[in-house]
Amino acid sequence: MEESKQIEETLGRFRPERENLLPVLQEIQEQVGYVSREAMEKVAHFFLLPPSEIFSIVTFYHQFRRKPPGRNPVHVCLGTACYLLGGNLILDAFSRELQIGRGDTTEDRSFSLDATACFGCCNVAPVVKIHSQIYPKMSPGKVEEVIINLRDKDKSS
Amino acid sequence: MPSLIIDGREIAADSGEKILWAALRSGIYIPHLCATEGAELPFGGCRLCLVEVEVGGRREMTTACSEPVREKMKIYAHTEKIARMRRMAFELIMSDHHIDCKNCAKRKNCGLIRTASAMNMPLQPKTLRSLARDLPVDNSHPLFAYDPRKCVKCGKCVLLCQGLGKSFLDFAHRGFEMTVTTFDHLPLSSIACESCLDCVKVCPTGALYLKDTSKNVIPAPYQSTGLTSAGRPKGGGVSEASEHSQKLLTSPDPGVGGSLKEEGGSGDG
Repeated sequence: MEESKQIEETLGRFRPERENLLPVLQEIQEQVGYVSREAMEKVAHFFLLPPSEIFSIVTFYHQFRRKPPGRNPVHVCLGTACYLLGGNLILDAFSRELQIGRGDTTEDRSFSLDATACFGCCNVAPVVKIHSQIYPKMSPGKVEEVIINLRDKDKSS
Repeated sequence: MPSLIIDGREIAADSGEKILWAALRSGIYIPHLCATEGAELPFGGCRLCLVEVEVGGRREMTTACSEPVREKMKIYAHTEKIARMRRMAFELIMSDHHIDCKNCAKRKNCGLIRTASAMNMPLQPKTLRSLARDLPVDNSHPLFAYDPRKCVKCGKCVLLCQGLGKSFLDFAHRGFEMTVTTFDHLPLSSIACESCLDCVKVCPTGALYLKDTSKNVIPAPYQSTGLTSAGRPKGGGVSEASEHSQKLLTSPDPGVGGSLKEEGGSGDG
């Protein structure tokens, strides 16, 4: 399996010292796109740490996702400006429409939902980022439209 | 051997000892839930053992379970301010505890009930609404079960399992969502747990309980002075593990258990 090869390869570039733990996890996420159960087990084995501790760390930081990202990764900004203008309502709307929670991926893997920190476009808050496109001045009402357009694009490609 | 002054009373303590254990040994009761004697890194999560320590004429608030004693240290353990803080801490602990004493396997041996009665407080918070979460009970293990709705996040089971060199239990997630759980939330029956059941014994609540309910009453009579001073283990290395756990189980700990609450934010913005 390619994924386990990627993990092995990443681990091979580090020494099993505790200060390398977070860099290793970040690198795995970068390479594979998420930190799977298998990855956590491999990391635990590599650092000679209990798997429960790795799980504790991976769940503590919202940066790590434990499910593979969808083809359309939705990033809802919850930075200060976006939050004050209802970023959490946008997140709720996506969650409702896609029937998944934060950090989850839809069954067909077409969408995943994440909350992130500031993108630096507070002037058009609240914003959502999907791929490299920024959706400015979002409202819960616009969420459905965004999803439908992306689904159509998926079908046509 | 340093001596310290708690509420105007001079007591003796071992050097390096934490205030809490010195006080308890001398018969001064300070409420506590999460404290484990001899813990290398006291958790200090329940905030029930808050005391005021006089430093250079000013009083500073600190947790008695984590502050080592110093010669002629002046400590105030029962002031109005402290009482207010402790009551708030206890209400916070209880606000997300699923209160269901009638059906609780540990009702006869509950650290929360003991603490509440020692602090003369009701179990139900008066000033806070209940935020008990609906979490699934893990009934998979043949001998014991885990009900995360009753967990107060004192970390005693985590510390103990770590001390035994097994570490099957650990904290996961953060802030209000934090729970004590196994690796990737695997059911208790599928991890390599050796069923030592020590976690059930240290759990101050009905979160970890034996399925054979008649055995849940572990003789741990409530007494505020009965701590033994002998053989305090330093740290939880694997070689000392069994002695360590033995100590944990045999010391008649008055207000067992504890809680961590409202730690850190959940937002990342």
